[in-house]
Amino acid sequence: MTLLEIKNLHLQFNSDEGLALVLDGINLKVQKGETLGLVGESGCGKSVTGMSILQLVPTPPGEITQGEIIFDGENLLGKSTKEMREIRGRKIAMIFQDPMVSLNPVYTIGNQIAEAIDLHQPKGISSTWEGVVDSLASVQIADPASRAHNYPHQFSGGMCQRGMIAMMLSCRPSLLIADEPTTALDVTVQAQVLKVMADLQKELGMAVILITHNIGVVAETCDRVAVMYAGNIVETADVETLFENPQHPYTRGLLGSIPRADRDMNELTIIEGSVPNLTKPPQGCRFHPRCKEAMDICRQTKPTDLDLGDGHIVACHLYG
Amino acid sequence: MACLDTKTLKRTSVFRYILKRLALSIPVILGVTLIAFLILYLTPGDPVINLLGARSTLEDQAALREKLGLDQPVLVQYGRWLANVVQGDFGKSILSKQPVMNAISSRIPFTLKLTLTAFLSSIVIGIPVGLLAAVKQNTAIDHISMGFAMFFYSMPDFWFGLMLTLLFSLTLHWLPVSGAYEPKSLVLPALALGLPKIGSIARLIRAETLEVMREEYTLTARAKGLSEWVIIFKHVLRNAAIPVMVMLFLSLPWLISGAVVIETIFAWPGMGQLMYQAILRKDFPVIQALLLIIAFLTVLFNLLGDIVSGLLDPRIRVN
Ligand SMILES: Nc1ncnc2c1ncn2[C@@H]1O[C@H](COP(=O)(O)OP(=O)(O)OP(=O)(O)O)[C@@H](O)[C@H]1O
Ligand code: SF4
Ligand SMILES: [Mg+2]
Repeated sequence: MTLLEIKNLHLQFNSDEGLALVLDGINLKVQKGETLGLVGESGCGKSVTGMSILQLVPTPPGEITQGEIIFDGENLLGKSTKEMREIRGRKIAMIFQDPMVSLNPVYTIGNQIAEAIDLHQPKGISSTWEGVVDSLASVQIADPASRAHNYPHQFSGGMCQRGMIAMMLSCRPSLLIADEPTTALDVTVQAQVLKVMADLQKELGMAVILITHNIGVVAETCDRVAVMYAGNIVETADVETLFENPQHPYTRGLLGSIPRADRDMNELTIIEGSVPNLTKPPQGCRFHPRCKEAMDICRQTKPTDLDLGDGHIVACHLYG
Repeated sequence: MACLDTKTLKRTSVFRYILKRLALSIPVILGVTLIAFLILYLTPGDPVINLLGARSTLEDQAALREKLGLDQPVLVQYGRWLANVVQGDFGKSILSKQPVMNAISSRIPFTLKLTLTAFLSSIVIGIPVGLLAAVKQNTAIDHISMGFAMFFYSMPDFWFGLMLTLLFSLTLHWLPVSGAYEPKSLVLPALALGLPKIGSIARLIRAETLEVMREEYTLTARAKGLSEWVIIFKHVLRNAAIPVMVMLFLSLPWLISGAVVIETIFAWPGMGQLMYQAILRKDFPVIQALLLIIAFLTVLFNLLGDIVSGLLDPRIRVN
């Protein structure tokens, strides 16, 4: 069952350098309970996609000019600020890249979790404080009752991220947007944080959009993957298909550029050229200046999404 | 129970910290008074001649100088002064011949009233105005309030005092020109001293608020579904207030020194006015006692500033 569907979403930023078309009509579906990986080079629009869902993109300078975000059958873009607040944290939660700066330094972890619980009043919790302790226990924080009195600076990076997860999942949302949740962490604790997340996902039956640079993480944790390039989603497929049978030239380049599955792909990219300036994006297919298979039509017309079957979708003139 | 224990533990350690800080500040206070003593000694002007007049005989001058102990080497004079102070004796004013403490004690409340009014209004007015300007960034509210803040902030206080008098006393006749005969008298000196402070605090709070609003934890608060009110007042304001509070308390000595000018302009009978008169006439014992009090207040407010920022910011809390 489809939990979230993004249709033809356009997001632009007004800056001194001009108008940047940061999301250029993206389409994306997330099924109930699944993990969808969102990958792509830095600046391609992964974070703003996640933030758009919760309408956390600052406006101005941002502006959503077109599209729909259907969640649980309702278009979030038609909701009032107040209605959105009731969705944030309760139905859709989000965690960020750097856990050490994502928690407020002047309040205890317990206070910050309690705030979410008091706000959304999730069912099945006898008292706020019990909810706090339970949620910390659920992310494997030892001695949660006394740890709840700690301030973020008394937690390690991994613990902060688990604290964030505890806070954001304390109200049992049906969708979690995790924006590079392990990028800032030591390699040794990355696995632990991902495990905690996966366990809770199973327990809550929650869907996850996992934004990451790390193809190894995608291979291990995701059911499906969407590949982004310069504000477009260029290919979506289930994880096996994508790794075994990538169709889009950008995806192929991306996967080909990874000699070791656990390396950050940006460091090793062998796709020639660089990400375009989104205030002056290339006409037609935004990837054409870097594409070895570019044809005349690629320079003029933007390719549309084509379903190759089994939910394998690609946007490229080589197909169709 | 465990929770209670750590709390009492914390409290005693805070108490010990305060005592330690006060003890450490004694050399600072002594140093200030010693340096002031030396500076006064080196600056031109002779209290004996001030007292007896320029035409008095040299014998008379010498006799008085000896009587006042001013013939002794400067360090001996300082030592004597210090020994007396430790026993609670601040000596007598050279001019009025009254005990120094009599002259000062009636003036302390006036200065405190003036500086604390300015200080509190800079918090009570400066912080909300700066916060509002930040929340309404780039709107008319922001531009207007920051325009005023900049104006007040950049006024020299004596000039500002004179302009206020001109407007509210001499033109509009709303407020008394000077003195401290009625409650209304406080208004003008407090405005002259406080408005520049309000301006600087408003500007500072605005800048800090804008910075904190860009912090990731503010985004987290928003992603949790909190209302804008809770985000601003609970999550943003407290973080933005930390550096501002430290700055405020550290600048209190500056406020007290500003009071010297303002009290003199408005004939406000506080320590500042007394200080001004005492400096003009080289009334050593009075100047020394005033400096001691100001140094002590400075140290005290620095400590208060540390305690307040420790209360606001758990990262710098002592343990
Ligand atoms: N507040 C903003 N104002 C202006 N432009 C923005 C803002 N936020 C993002 N952008 C622009 O939107 C584009 C997409 O940014 P986004 O942060 O989504 O990239 P990303 O894919 O998450 O990259 P990374 O992997 O580095 O996190 C970038 O070109 C960025 O410059
Ligand atoms: S549309 Fe053309 S330029 Fe774009 S990826 Fe496909 S082949 Fe390359
Ligand atoms: Mg990002």
